[in-house]
Amino acid sequence: MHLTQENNSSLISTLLKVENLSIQTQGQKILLDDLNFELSAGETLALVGESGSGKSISCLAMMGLLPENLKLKGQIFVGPKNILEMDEKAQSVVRGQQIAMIFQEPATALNPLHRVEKIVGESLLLCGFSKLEVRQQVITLLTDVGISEPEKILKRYPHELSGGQRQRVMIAMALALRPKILIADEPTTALDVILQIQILELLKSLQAKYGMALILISHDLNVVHQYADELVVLQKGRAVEQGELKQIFSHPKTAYTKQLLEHEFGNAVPLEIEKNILFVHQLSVKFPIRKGILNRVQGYITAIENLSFELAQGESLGIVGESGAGKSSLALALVRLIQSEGQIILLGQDLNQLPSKVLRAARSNFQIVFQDPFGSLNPRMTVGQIITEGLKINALTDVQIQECLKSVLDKVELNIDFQHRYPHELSGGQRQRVALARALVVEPKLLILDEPTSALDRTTQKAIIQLLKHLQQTEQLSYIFISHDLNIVKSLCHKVIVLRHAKVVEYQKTELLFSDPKHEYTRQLITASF
Amino acid sequence: MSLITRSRLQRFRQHKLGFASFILFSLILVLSLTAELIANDKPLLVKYEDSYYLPVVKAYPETTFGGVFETETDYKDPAVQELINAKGWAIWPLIRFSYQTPNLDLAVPVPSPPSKQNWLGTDDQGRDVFARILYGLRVSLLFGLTLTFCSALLGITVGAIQGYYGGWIDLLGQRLIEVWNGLPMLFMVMILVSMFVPNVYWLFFIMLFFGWTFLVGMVRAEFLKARQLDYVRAAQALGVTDRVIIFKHILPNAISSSLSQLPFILTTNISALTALDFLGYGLPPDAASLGELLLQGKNNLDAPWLALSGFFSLAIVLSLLIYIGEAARDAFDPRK
Repeated sequence: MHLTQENNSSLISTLLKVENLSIQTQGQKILLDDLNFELSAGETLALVGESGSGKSISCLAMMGLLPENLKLKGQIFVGPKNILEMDEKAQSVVRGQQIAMIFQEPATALNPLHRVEKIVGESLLLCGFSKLEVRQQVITLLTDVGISEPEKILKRYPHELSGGQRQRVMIAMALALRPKILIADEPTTALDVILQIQILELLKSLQAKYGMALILISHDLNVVHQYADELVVLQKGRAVEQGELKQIFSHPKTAYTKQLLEHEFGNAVPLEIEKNILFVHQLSVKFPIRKGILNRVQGYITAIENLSFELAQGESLGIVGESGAGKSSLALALVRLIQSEGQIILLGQDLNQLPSKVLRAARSNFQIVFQDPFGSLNPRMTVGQIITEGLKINALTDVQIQECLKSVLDKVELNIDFQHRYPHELSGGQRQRVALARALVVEPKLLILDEPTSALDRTTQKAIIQLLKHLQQTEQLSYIFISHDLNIVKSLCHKVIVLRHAKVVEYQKTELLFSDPKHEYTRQLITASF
Repeated sequence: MSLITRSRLQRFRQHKLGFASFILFSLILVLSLTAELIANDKPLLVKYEDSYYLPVVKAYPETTFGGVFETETDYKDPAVQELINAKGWAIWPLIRFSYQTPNLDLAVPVPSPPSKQNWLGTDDQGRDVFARILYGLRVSLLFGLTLTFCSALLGITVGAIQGYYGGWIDLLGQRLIEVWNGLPMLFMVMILVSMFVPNVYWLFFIMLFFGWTFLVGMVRAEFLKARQLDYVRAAQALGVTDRVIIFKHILPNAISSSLSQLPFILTTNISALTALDFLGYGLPPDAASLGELLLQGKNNLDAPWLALSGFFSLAIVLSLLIYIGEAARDAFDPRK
């Protein structure tokens, strides 16, 4: 009895109170185990953990949006009421007016068939405001979220907005009914570093303006550390650490939190010999814009413009830039998967001049590893089949192929038994190792890595980076490493190219780039990342 | 068997109506394939003077059984039956009529109504309707299955090439197929068939010629999607040839949606063949076929057993195929 009374008195200042929240699937798998926290107006709580640690599902529970087949225990008080005991109708009043949510991927969270005015104003219309009032409110909201010229944006569709604008529109949509609690589910993961900072700053200023409580969900502790007061670190559904953020940052208690905090990957492997193997000269990639019935070329979108660089054996070159800067186009052009102009001279051969038959034979010298470890492996083939595919071109006996397979699996630190598994039976890190093994089995001199770690969580990232460094030493491999994560680039690459809008902003030795950036954009990137 | 295939089979089995239809359809297919052993005007096995004879498999002259003629034995002839029964015995199939045997012992004028001897009556030439349905189903199903298989093969290949290479090949292919699909298939087949001597093979090629485009669009769309995927790009970067990428990498991933369409294509092909037979442009006139039975039903409205048996056999087979198709479509659904 005493306990409940105490609860009631504290609820006046507390906006959100989660007590003993546990979520299970029907198969008894525990998704969330005994989560407790309180949140008052003006406070910011960060929920941090790897993918699958139960961050998003706890927030869906707070919104009352959980799928019905999940078993729920515990209480969630939004204001004085327990949202889990409400009926659907009462819940929908709480949603929007009391508690609102911003989703990770604005491209899919905004209805592509509605204009901005309708997207932002829909909940207002449902509350019975007149059309004129709604328009006024929407314009105010759009101004609040930092969109210049909101009148122009009103009539646009989501696909006509930039990534940052979409995220802002989604924030405006969540704020329409002036909620007291705002949940931001990885609000910046889909954005590049400079936009990330802008959006987080915006959320902070809006929080102060509206006096909201804010819940920030992220997989990256470093993103939230300047913006949150309280921190909950989740691992496999359990809160392993909880408390004041500053305290945890200065004295992390568990090894897991320490791992999450760690963003130092060491330094690049020192170079031994200086023998250039790759010269790229005036490389350009253009995509034609075709229009009309006859598909005639009307113009070009430039993805890469006049790029030149050199690469020595055993050296690695980092390519950095925001999304849309042309990084992936560069990777595909270098391995001749898309057309390009200019010279790519690898081991004395100009790849852009080779006829397709000679090129096919030369392909074993350069290989590519893709970003998404789920999409880059054929789901219908076993690991063994996937890896040995590249060997089929040379006429090898079965015994030789088995030997190659064994040694390459050994190199990427996988057990030989993995050869019989299918991709869906592997974890993200294991898949990326298989993708690496597929590239390594043909013994390339140059490996192009297109964001190979960005789909993985911190611990796995670290392991993959260690592996890459080790391989670089033992095999004398040259890397072209594409990433938006400057931490990783710093630890692996000898030289860095910063790309923006298809052009080279800066091309510099790594130490020089980080200690003395020449360009304003590079400086912004570095301050945003560290 | 991979995990995906196993879970698909399981989902197919869980679809009760579809799975029951599948069993029933298989039964019908097996029955019609063994039609000679069920409905025939020859005995299955004859024992005559200590030796055994298989008239269904081999033709024996009447002299074998002590008759006078050198020609093949007419086992329906009471004289021959007497000869056999005197020095041995004969096992007859369930129905003692083949699709071409007229019942000569009928007391009523043809077409005669259903009786103990002719379960579904006889047609206007005194032939047993049940036997004709059995043989007709065999022709329809075999014809339909082969036609479906060949047109699927052609459609998938063309769709794969169009989708994988894209660009001009795709553009030209799509325009060509749009024009092709615009042609009224039934009328074109009728015109072409009347130019040649009616014969199963001609009919097959002509129908294939106009009917192979079913799957092109679907396979093409799957390939357009798949060629952008990283595992295809990785294979390209390894220097794997286009042929291997198309058939080994993309096709196994792209084909499931097409496979689930096969029962529906089979349905279309069987109805098309029936329609042609009904109009008299299909199989040769004396061949047993469902369309021909329906035509007889139309010509002999006073003998409703003709139209009714034609209608029901066609309706049952087509419904079974639709249910199988629905179950297959659900089982292959990638979202499950």
